[in-house]
Amino acid sequence: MFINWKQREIKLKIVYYGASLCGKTTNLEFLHASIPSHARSDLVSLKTREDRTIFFDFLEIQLGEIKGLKPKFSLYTVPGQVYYIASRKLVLQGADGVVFVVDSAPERRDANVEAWDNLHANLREFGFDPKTFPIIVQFNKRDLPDALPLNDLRQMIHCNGHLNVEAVASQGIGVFESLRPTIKSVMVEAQRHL
Amino acid sequence: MPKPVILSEQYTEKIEGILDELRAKTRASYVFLADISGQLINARGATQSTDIAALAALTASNMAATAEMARRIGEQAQFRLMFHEGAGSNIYLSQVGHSFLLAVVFAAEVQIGLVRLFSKRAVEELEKLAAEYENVVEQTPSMMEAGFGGAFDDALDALLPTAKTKPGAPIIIR
Repeated sequence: MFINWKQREIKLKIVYYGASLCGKTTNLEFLHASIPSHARSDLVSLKTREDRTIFFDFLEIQLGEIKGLKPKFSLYTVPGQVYYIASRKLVLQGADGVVFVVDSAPERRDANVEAWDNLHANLREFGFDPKTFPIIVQFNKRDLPDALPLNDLRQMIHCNGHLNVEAVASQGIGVFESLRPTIKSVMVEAQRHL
Repeated sequence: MPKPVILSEQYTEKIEGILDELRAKTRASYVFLADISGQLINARGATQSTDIAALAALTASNMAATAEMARRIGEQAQFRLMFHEGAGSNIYLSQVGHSFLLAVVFAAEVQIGLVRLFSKRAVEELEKLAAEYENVVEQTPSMMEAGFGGAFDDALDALLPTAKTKPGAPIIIR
């Protein structure tokens, strides 16, 4: 979190975390396409030739001036593929909140668990308690015919205590609904410093 | 949540003074200071046409990637500077302490030697300033007006409204 008193800016960082191909970049693409250009930056994507995220995607959104303050939010995705695991930690550095994207496909069960455990390990390494860190869990791809039931997904990653949102990010469903509470929860924390 | 970095007005003015001087002496197009997590702290110069927030994020990732390169070739510390040369524009990046980076964006006509010399001086001044940081935070008054929380929530709800589409209804993204 950065607070600049002269420019009256508050800058917060939110990271979309999750297994490969779970829909993190899709969330950012929908936000980029839906938010008016004056309220957002360009979408920066560092992708491989196969269109996979190699380092991160980046999008900044701004709410304009509110009571003399200018809150800005930097949104990042981490690469989902396990062989870019070191990049995930680098991108997570300095994060104020996380949207954890879960793939509802049954065959992605292990990948979801791996990413969730990896998020926890990295947060602990940065000195945070994953139980109290602002994490919103987005259950994505709810339109899959064989999507796992919500209760199974919840038990799979033991995400009690974190807000859950159902989504079909490719259709924009649940994208705003995941980001909004994440921003609100990081702002609650930020306001303690204002 | 990470410890916030809170910059007072006076502190920001000191940063701006260092960046302005660097820019004037090197005749750079613009200069900026960011932290290693990619947050832009301050930018000075002709940045209007540039998406500076995205550029700050990219430079930070570039620094992070080269830190790993340094480690793998046996360097004890990170690389202190990086230079990318283009046909018309160049960018020169310097590490500032362990947590920040300084970027100078300049045209091909500008001599790299000038950029190198004055970047080094600016880094030294910024590192001194960073050492004073803890004392400054104590002096900052509250900047939040009454009613901020409610107004913030309203603005957020307006920007990210609840979708009116039913599940399954297609939404064209591009």
